[in-house]
Amino acid sequence: MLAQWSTLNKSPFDTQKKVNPKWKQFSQPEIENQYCLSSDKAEKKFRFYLEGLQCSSCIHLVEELPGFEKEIIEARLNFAKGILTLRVKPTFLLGTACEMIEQLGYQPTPLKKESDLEILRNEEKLQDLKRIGVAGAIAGNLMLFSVPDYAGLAGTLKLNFQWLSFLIFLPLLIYVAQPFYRKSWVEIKQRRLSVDLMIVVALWAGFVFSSLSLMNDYGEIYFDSTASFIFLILLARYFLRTQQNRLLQTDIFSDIFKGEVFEVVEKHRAHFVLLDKVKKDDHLRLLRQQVLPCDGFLESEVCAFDLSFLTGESYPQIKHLGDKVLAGSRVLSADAILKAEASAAESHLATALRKISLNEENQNTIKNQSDLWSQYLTMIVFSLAALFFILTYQKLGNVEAFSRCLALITIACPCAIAFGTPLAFSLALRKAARNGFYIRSSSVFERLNRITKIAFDKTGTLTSSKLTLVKSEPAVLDDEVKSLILGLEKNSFHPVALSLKDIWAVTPIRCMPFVKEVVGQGVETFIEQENYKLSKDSTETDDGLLQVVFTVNDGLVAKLFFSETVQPEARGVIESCLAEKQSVMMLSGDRKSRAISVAAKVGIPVEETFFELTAEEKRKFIRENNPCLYVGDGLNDLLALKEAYASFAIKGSFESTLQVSDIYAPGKNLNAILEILALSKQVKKTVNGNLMFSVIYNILGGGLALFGLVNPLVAAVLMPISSVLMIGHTVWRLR
Amino acid sequence: MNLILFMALVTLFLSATFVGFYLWAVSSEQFEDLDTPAYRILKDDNKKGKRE
Amino acid sequence: MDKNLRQNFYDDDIVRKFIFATLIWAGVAFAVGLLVALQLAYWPANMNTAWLTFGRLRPLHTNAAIFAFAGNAIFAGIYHSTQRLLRTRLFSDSLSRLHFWGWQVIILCAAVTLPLGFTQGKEYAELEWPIDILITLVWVVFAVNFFGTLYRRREKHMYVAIWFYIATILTVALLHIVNSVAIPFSFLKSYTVWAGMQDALVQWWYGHNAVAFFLTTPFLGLMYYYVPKVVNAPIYSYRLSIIHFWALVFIYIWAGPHHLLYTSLPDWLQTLGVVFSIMLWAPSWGGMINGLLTFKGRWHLVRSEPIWKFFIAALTFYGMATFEGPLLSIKSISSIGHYTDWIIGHVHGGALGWNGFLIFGMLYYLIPKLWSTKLYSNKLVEQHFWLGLVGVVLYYVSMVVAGITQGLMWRATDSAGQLVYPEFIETVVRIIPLYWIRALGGTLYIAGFVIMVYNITKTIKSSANSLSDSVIDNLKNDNVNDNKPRLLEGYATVFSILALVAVLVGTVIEIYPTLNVHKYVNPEITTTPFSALEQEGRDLYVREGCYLCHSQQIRPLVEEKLRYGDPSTIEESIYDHPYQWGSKRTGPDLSRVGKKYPDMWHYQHMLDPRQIQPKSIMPSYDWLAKKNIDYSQIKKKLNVLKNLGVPYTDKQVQDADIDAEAQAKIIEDGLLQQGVKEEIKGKEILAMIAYLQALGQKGSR
Repeated sequence: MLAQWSTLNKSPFDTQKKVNPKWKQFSQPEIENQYCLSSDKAEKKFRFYLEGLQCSSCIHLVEELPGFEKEIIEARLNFAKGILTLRVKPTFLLGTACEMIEQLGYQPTPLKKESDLEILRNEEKLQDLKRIGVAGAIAGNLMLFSVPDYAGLAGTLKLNFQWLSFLIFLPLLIYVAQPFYRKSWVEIKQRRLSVDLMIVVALWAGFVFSSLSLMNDYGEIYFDSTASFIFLILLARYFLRTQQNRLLQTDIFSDIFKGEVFEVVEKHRAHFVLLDKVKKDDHLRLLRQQVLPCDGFLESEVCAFDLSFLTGESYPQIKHLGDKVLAGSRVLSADAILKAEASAAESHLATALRKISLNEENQNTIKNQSDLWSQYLTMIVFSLAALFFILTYQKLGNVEAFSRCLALITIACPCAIAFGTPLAFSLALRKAARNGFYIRSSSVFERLNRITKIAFDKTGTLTSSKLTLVKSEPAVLDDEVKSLILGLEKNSFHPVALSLKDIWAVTPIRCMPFVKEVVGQGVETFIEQENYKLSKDSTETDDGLLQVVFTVNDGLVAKLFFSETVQPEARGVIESCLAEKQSVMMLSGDRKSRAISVAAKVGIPVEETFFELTAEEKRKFIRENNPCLYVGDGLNDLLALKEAYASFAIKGSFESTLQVSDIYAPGKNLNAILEILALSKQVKKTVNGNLMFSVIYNILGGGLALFGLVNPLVAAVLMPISSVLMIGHTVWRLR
Repeated sequence: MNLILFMALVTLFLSATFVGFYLWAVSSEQFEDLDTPAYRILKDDNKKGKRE
Repeated sequence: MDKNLRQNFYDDDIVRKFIFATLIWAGVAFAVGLLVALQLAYWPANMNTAWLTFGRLRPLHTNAAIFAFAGNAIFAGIYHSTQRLLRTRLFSDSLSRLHFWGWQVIILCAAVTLPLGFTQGKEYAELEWPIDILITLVWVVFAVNFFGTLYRRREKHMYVAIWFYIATILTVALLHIVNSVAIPFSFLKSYTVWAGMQDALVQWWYGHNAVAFFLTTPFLGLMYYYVPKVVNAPIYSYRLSIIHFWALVFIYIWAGPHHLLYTSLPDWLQTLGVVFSIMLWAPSWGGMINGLLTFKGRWHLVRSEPIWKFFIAALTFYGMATFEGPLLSIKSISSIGHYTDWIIGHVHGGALGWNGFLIFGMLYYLIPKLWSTKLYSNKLVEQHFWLGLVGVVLYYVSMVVAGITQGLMWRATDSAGQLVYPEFIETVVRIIPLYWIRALGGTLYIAGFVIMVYNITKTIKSSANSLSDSVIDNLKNDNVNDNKPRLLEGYATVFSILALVAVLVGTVIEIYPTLNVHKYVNPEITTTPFSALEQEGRDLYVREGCYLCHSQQIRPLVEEKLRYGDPSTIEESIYDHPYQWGSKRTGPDLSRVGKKYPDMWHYQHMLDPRQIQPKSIMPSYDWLAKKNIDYSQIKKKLNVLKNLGVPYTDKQVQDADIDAEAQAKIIEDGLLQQGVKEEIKGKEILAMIAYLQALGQKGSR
């Protein structure tokens, strides 16, 4: 036998480590089935997303799995993507695999079968790569046979080489150019012109012209340049597509519930199901920190939820038996039981996320734009070429006139514009998404460049909902009072309660049973007939402070004054906006005193500060001041956000905010405004640069072509170079 | 100058062979992951063993 | 031992074998190199021995350096890295051994036949036909072994190094076969089927690609494996390496004609060579940058890692050589550099710097691993590196200076349009000091190598007595081999490749008679073939390797016309099997030397060049006056040539020996009349004189 295995057998598994009990559920056939990627009976194939991969030795460790487990046939890790593919024998269970991976020290998330779209996209990518390779080889070999021609080869050998060129060119025509044919045919059927049609025309014109020339020996042949042209266009398109695909692969919804399983409680037993197996009327038991996957009704007595993902409100909310809780809420207190109102896919959250136009609207916008551009240009160039031919063929002769038209079509291929603008937008979208912005439509980048005014909401935008204790009466409170107040507020999630618990963290809390919280009023309790009460005092003060009174048996014991907290970066942001020559205004529904005080703090001029506005009034203001960017919080500003020429929600509920606001940046501060403004400026610069270049290039190149100063050969080289320059410029600007 | 033509054909044949290799490589997904292989080779491969 | 069990180990033994061979042949190649270098600085260094003379030893030096030193190192590296990259033992142990011993036999044959003067007279392809066939066979063994390993692989992905190896194996096979097609007329002698310009073209198509696919692609493969291994960091960009590979294989193959700039090759073909050479620059530098950037973030460690220095220097020399190559293929630069020592410098920058240093680095990395021990001394590695580096730099700089100096002297004309240095010897004397510096550089390089051998010997001695092989990991459930369909598919590919090679060989043999149509030959110009004795003399010219110092190709440049006469034409060499255009002028061009001097001049000059030219550095060829002409082969030779298309009449072939003897008699009588005392009847010198006097006399211009 072999002695050396002993060294190998030192197990890297941490068997002491407690594995997540949920993995057991993955071994259930119906769950496992959804993750099994192979239809082969002899083996199963699973994919996992692994967290915790740090260095290259992780690859060796993970790929060593077959060495430790006989049932694992092969383990392959894609280090960059963090995706592990396992091929295992049919007896090996998914749950076991997850446990093993976890014991290795990584956090696995099993990945489902790829969607048809993904498979198709992958297939397309492979086809593209093949075509690029073949086109490159053809172009290179054609050059081999045409350089001698330019270098003065003549006679039979030249003819032989030209015929070889002809033969080598055929695969390009038959195989490589297929996607161009397909696309132009689709467009023609819809009675539209496309860039692809132009490429097809240039390709065939180059081919037919060269072949005729070869047979009748009346001029130059352009096999090599046409092939290089096709090769470079394919290369440019491949690049463009990989850029865009990267953008489109963002899937927020599945990100949130990656690999999560949910416990469904039935009368006598509990079992675990996957996200999409949660049905209407299931009773779900959620653990602390788990996120509710579907809308439902609370079946526990009382439970605190963190709704910040949905509402943007960072304070926990208390829900009681029978209350409706929306998907996306995170359980804060102990386990909660809920009854599902509908499946996860039907939840408000899922519906809203589906609407995020990253996937639909943006794709269409980009596509439409590019189509529109190319249609116009194709039309112009074709008409110009036709007109030129008709006007000049008698004077120049058929061959020369045709040759010039061919040069025009080749050189003026509008790819530059058609690619440049949409690429700029998609790159900007990607950059924004990477930095935490959700953007409804890429057109917002254009709009942001046209705004003249920025309107800010006050509460929750310029100020945080956290309160600051400014002063109290008496000025110094003794610990007895503090601990009584804290006792009252112990279970409350009201801003006042939270800020007091924050400020008086060292003070011991008095045990106060049976505290009642009346929303909008305050908290109170009775202990041994004594009434302790903390309530809001609604009398107006000049300095715009919030007053809270503490009474014992209705006798005033203490009075607390709170002020709103201005976001620390607000002043800087507004200064920057002003410096950018944007005028700035504040629209607030709050009282005059508070509004003015905040405006002063952040540097908004008094005459631009408007207060005590209803939602409808805000909307009117916005309409009068358009084009303007409204920056609100998405909680109470929906009307205004919708009305604004461009809107930016710094927080707010996912669902409603995304429907009305262009940009949504949860978890970011006001600096995000500057960030997105800078990005849109970059986009503008890039697009303008592209357009300028394109116009100059096309007029110059087209002109030269028509005057016969550029032959189709040079044109075919120039055009792809212009595309590459444009793409390079765009990527460089928005990198 | 048939020799040159002959050499051109030989070269073309060689190119075709490489194109074939390339097509095979793409369709067998050789180029699917272009990050991990660079790391994979770094594994220490020199565990000695005694033959018996 | 159980065969299945064996499959759990890498075959390290074969790697160790090739490493030994590398070291031994490196010693031979370097020693011979130094000897020939000394002969250029000091001609008596040949010890007046025929088989130690420059013309015979230079082929041995180049063959030993390329095929023995670099070759064995490539095989060691490929066999070591391939097993690990594919995670499997080599396909067949017996094929591996056959490959190893076969290759050593080839080299031994070369080491014996070349000094004895058995040569095809084509640079880097001098070996005669039986050895050529042996090379083909061994190469097929290598290919089957390699592709077999490929299909038995346990690692699905083929790392970029593997691709470079594949390109090497396929292309070298093809090049070797096409270039080596020859018709033998005796056991060790043959005539190549290609003639004159065609031969030149095929030869440099091969010659350039020998550099490309024997000294570049396999080494790039090794670089892509060993640099990351040594640094323990992934290659800077794996994507770039893939692009590097595909770009290189599509462009490299056609750069050959740049070796023939300003020759009688058609202009368009020269331009083609130039264009493709310049295109090569981009992928080559892509590769170099990729290799160097792998050290990114670790430069501070280089100081303490002497082995790294070898790789960094190797990559730098690769970058220099691949920059200089396209530069030299630009026509105006080629007009100065061609035929001079600049090319020698360029080649050695690549061979000593790139190939040599990469091999040394690889050996220093491999040997401790394969012998399960530590390197004896890092300090000695450091010393080796610096000695070697200074050696290469001295070599390179002295040769570039020598080349440019001589190139400029050749072309220098005064205001009257006359050559400033009409005597060729003046341009030689000027650069002799540089030859000494070159020899010094070589000596330093060898000193470094000796240190390495010492270091390695000590290292190996310190290792355990019983050598063990490395274990292949992850074999507990080996399921690659039961993947039958894939395996079969694999074999099919191997066989189809072999079949293609076979078909190709067949095609070449069948196609050759049709290739003798000379489209570029002006039909009004008739060229007379060499007489029997002249042809015999020509074979002696080839045997002595005269083409290694004398060209037979006058370029259409003013100064060449002044010095040598009218530019060479294609017609003149149309019946030359092999062509003898040459690539280096240590002495003057000889294409128009016929009838320039009397027979007596040649007689004296061949026996002792210094009688004619006191400063000459040409060796004395007195053995030509001692050995008898072998008249028995002449008929066969003419017959083969006739079959290859040289227009000999049947009578000429029939009476070849009689004609030759008759012509020899005339020359002999002439020499005796002029006072030659020695017995020269039937001696080789007569044939040589006949040939030299026929140069430039056969084709009307």
